[in-house]
Amino acid sequence: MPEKKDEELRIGVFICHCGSNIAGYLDMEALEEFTKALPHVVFVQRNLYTCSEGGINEIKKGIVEQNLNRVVVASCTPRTHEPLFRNSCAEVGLNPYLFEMVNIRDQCSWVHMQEKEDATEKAKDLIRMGVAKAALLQPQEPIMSEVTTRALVLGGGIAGMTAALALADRGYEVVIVEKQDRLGGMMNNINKLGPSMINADELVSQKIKAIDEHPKITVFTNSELAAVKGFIGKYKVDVKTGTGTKNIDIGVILVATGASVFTPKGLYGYDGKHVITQLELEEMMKKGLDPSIKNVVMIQCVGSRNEDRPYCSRICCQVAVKNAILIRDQNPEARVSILYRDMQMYGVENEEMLRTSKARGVRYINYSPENPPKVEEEKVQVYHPLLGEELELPADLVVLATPLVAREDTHDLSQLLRVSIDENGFYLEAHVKLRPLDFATDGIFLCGSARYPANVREVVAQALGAASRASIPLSKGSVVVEPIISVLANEDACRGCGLCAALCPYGALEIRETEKGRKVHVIDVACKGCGVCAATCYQHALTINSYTDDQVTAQIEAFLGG
Amino acid sequence: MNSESGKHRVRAKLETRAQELTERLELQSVRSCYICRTCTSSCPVTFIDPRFNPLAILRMVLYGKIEEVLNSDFLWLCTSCYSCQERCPQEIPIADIMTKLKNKAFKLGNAPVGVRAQMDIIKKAGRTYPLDDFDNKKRAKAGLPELPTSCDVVKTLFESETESLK
Amino acid sequence: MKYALFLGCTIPARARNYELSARRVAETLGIELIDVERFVCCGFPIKSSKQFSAELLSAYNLALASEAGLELCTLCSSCTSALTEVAHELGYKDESQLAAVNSHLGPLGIQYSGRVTVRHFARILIEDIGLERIRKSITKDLSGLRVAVHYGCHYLKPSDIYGGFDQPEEPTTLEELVSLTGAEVIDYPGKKKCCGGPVLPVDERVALSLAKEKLDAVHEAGADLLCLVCPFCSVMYDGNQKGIENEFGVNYGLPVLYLTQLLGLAMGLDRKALGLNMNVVKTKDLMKKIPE
Repeated sequence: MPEKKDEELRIGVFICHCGSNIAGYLDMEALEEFTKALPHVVFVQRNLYTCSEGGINEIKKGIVEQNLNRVVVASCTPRTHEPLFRNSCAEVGLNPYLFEMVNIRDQCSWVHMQEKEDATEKAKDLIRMGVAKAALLQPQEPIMSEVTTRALVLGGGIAGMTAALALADRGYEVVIVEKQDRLGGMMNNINKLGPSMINADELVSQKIKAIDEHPKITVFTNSELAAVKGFIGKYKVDVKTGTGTKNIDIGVILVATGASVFTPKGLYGYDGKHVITQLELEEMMKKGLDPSIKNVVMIQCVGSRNEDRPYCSRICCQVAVKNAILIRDQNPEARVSILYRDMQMYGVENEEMLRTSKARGVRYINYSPENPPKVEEEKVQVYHPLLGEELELPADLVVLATPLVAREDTHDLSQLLRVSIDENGFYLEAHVKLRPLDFATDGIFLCGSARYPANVREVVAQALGAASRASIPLSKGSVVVEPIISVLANEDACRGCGLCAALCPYGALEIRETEKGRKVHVIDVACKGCGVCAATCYQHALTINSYTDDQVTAQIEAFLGG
Repeated sequence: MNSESGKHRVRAKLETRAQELTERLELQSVRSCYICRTCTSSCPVTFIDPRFNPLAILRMVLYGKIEEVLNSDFLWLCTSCYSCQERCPQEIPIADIMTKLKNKAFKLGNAPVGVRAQMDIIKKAGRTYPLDDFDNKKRAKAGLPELPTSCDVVKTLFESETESLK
Repeated sequence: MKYALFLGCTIPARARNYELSARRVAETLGIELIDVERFVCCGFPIKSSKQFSAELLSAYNLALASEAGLELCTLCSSCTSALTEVAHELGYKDESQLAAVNSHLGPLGIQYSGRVTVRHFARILIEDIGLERIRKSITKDLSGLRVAVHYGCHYLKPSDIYGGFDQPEEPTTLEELVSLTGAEVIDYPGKKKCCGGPVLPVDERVALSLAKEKLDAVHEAGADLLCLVCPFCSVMYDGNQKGIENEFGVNYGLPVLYLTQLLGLAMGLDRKALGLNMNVVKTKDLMKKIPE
């Protein structure tokens, strides 16, 4: 919908009172009078709440009755209400990108509550700048791109298998890439799963069978991801397998790579025989515990919640309690003591399992990190702060609860996928509450212990959730993105230096050989419009839609000219 | 077998004995304690004399140190006020546990003199404060009815009980 | 209204003032208290040494009441809890326990049926007489008095044997009864704390320290008197008050009255008839605050 060049600019400005949030601290009449006198402004209206149904109708009425072709709302933050106001414009036929928002609440009334006059002057400046920019706004059209309906699942553990099956059952093709020689991941080493105490093997073999039989799932074992190119809907990945490298077209990627167990080398006399980890105990119990073992002492938080690894590994308490109960089952004469710092038995069933273990005679002894237990031959000494003395516990077997830690290859893989990792080396989601299973990069999703240590129940829930999230673009078959993105406005100026492509956090730029030489190409679906490229380009070849040099300069001039 | 590991076998045996004693006295409910310390903070005695600490006693029972409790002086500082028991979120009958422990300690001959004297006098007279003719005179003066000055019933009761325990 | 009066050990020997005042108040309210000569110790003092013997003593007393076909009315809180606990055990739990107890009562030619109700005098006042009827017997206004009440432990605890009587963490019954006299009931910290009596034969210093804590708090709160319902508690606060004053170098002079003495005064009963002359801490000054 290109506007006619000679079309008369007709700007409407709606100034919101936000109840008394704005009107209580600014001189609203003065603002209205001031705005009326600005260039191209043909209509000004004040509303009690512009975002209310009444306010929205006023915008629509203004566009229709006043024949407005640019709309400015001076109110609150665009983070929450810009989409709403844009839609209102679109509903009455005005291109939504001919809308501009000015934030006179957060930036004026809220921060300058005690200075009405100055705050009003600042609001005038902001409105003047907004109007100046609005005059130069150009209509934009949303960008659409096709999606390859095939998912790549990295990791064939319980998370990956669950997610793969969920996607394949929806009818999408799934490729699982597993590093080890078989599916199952860490579950292959686990004995039973609490609190229901089902065999881990049963669950794993069920899933493997379902995957083997599924026509939509392809599994590559002994394989790893070698390269990733492209963007949501159109990835090209290289998978290195035992027989060579496969190049596969992929629409979405799920990261389900899990975690590894911290090995407590040099801690509490760890030797893998008499002093072992909980995971090693799992394997031992799978074979059946040696009946001569009468005294088991478990030590929690070994190598976690300290300076090196400040986080809580979440699952170790449940694992210890579960294993303590199972030891009493296998060997009723065995005495089990759990030395802990804090017991994290969240949820109804875990708490119940803790109570059961206590009723079954499992002993819990609190220790403080300043006074850690001492493992000696056939005994463990622990200082009990309440009794003020050292307790001596006979021990045939000492079990250390060590945390799950990020896999060694997390960093490399995160570079390959262009996704973030957190301070502990685990993958980082886009938003802890709003987007817990997405990465910030569109089209890549996350589940299981690759994010943080999780028990099987949580992993399965996350995997189903991540599969659900991933199936949104797959089921739509296409993705639509905001057109406020980088554009090569001046192709001749571009020298193909590649600085922009190197800096782009989303992998949205690439240098291509063209008839005119090396030029940057914007992958518009991948671009987020952050502006790093445009700001970097010293040829001023790149610009951002709706934040063009002209528009920004006009704003600055409007400010200085005030 | 070196002497160290021999020592631990002894220790393990002690633990087993403590465990058995705990079960015989039906004190297993101590296991559900999650150390919230409500008992201790409710205890009027701990406030006065920290030697007596209900939580510590529960933990000692749990950690196989029950005999240490039975030999202690502090056990007898419990007033049986039930504050701990009323407030225990895990519904551990703490005051009743103290009674059981005291009973056992009494049996082992570990009760303080005052407690033993009380037992003796009741066994003999059926009352903590036996009444004599002088008391009855005072009662009569105050217009109160006369009460018996001796009590054979108690003897019979205690005999019957001792008999059945043989 | 007829009840078997269970006096226990302490009252007939050391708390005749309690016994006198309870009997007088009962008469005034038309409560008939029957004396059972053969009652023995309730068992409470030996519970910590030999619980089973203690329970046998309780059961014997219960059996006597059941033989007389009467409910038990107790004055001492410790007796109340010991007897109630056994009545509760034998009345609601398995029959084998009742049979075991009866096998020991056999030689005495008595059996326990397993159904006797035990209640403290104050509880009977609340539940059987009712505040309204008591109010009608009140002839004197004691509004000049500031009264601190002491519940003690076994009047309300262990609560699971008391069938929902009052609320052990927020009791109100004593306040309700004292308020009938027009006296002002004042609050003070540590209202529910133990008197320390049971550890008196174990560690006198600890027992007296416990009692001192309460005397401090009540004194600090400006009470004219401490009102209670158990002779054991009275021994600690009245009988041992002078000793505490000497031991810790403090001075209270705080009169300690039984609930029945306070109610009796409000009912216009004579000071001597209520045994107020037998209270250890003198109550004469207190009388000046009460209308003639």
